[in-house]
Amino acid sequence: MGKVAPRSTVERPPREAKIEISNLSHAFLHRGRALVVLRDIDLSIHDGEIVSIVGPSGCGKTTLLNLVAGFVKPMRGSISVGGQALRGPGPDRGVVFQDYALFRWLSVRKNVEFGLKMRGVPARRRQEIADYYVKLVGLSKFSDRYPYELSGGMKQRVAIARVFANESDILLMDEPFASLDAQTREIMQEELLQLWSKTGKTILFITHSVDEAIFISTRVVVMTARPGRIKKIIEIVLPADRFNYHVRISPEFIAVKGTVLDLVREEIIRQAAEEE
Amino acid sequence: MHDALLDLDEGSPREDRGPASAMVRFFRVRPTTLVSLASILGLVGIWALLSLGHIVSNRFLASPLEVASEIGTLFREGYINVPFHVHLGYSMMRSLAGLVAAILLGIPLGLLIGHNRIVSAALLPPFAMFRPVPPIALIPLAVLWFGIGEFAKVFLIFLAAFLYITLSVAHGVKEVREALIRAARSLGANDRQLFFHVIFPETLPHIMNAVKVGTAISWAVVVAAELVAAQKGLGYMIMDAATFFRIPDIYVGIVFIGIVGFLLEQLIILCENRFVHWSGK
Repeated sequence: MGKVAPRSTVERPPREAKIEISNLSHAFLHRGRALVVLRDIDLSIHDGEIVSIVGPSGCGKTTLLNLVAGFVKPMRGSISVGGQALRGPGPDRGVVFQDYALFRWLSVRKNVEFGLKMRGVPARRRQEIADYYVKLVGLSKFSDRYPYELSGGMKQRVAIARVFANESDILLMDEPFASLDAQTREIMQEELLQLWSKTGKTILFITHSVDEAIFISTRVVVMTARPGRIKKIIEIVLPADRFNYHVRISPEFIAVKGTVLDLVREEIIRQAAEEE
Repeated sequence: MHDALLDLDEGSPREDRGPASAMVRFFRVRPTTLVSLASILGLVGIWALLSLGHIVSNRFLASPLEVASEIGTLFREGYINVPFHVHLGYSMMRSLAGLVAAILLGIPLGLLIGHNRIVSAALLPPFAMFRPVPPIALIPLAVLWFGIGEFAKVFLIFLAAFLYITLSVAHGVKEVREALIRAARSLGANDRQLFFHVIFPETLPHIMNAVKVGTAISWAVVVAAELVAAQKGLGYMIMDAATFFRIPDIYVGIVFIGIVGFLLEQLIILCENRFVHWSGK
């Protein structure tokens, strides 16, 4: 797995707020009635952090990501990225989708080159960059393949290489590993951490899995049942050997997992009670 | 670190790809191909039995042998002093002219309707209303407007294929997944790039299919158009042969319409395998 970097070397205080979400509320129209999905969200994500968001289904996790991505306009409140108010989607925030959203008519390399091509990077240069990232996610042998020839894990590696190659400082990941099998999923988490430690990206990560959230994050945000509010934000402090999967069975990991599970459980039970 | 990880992937990428392998796949004999072949032979067998066994009078049904020998005669002597390949050529040229016009106008218009909500709101309802009108119902009108010349026939073919292709392409554009558009946007694509680098290629399988069905439509409509007002063409030949009880010629016409239609479809399927090999996977 290469050299492991202890977590402490990745943090670099003092940190500025890379993503600033303040007083954010959002609702959808559902059968003629407003359905509030997010209420009064305040969250600062600092440069170089990985922040995961967990919470019961329908708590607005994905909506929050779509708002930060600029796919949806917030109804109230504001989001700023790098000190600038948000204006639609842009290459400063790369998005990784659960269903990969690869371009099926393009080879792996061309998929990874896509953003560079859109931004007018010369062909030779973008091929170099694409080759570098394709190699980084271990798909060099597959760079002329098409998405339909790849497994789920490989497809998601392509999607990740695609956003890394585009050199966005910020990555928004919407349950990216949810449709992978359990083993591939854990490996992908480790790979993501490796990439993160090499590049120092700021990552907002949506997941259903408490385990995943704790393993990959510097902070975990637990949301309440709908309308989603921030219930609690938990700093993740784990043993220094961060990228070793054995960290998953360390006492620190298990202790914090207990805390987060309790919080999420509470919300799921509350949601179920309200629906009765 | 990744080589070891790759072994966990269950994906077994296909080795064959590209035009050469499309040919191989096309001509490789599979058990199902044999069944298909047997089915056609069986059909010809039943036909032979019905005609040669006089179960159906030869006033209505020519035997396969008669049809085969008539094909020879038609190629040597032509039908009513017009060589057979001229009849065939006329039908194909009319069909092709209408089809090409339908493709050239229908694909861009379909893309526009699918992409632009206002154009869609304006054009989709009239298109949807015109679409169910069978082209044959418009033959008298076409003759009234444009006379019995080539233009009336080509116009009918064009109209039928154009309506189908336009609607089908528009539908294809509307099928493009929101996630793809979002992905492209957040990778930095502007409106123009989004259209040419995402929406168009993603719609390509629909476009290929629209061309395939449009070709079948144009081939069917040319024969119908020639039944009414023509001096040349397969449709004319069938109609004329029926009028003068040249029974085998009717069947030769029908057989050739079938064969040409089949070959056209296979040609387009080859193109599909080449250009949109990733479709439906």
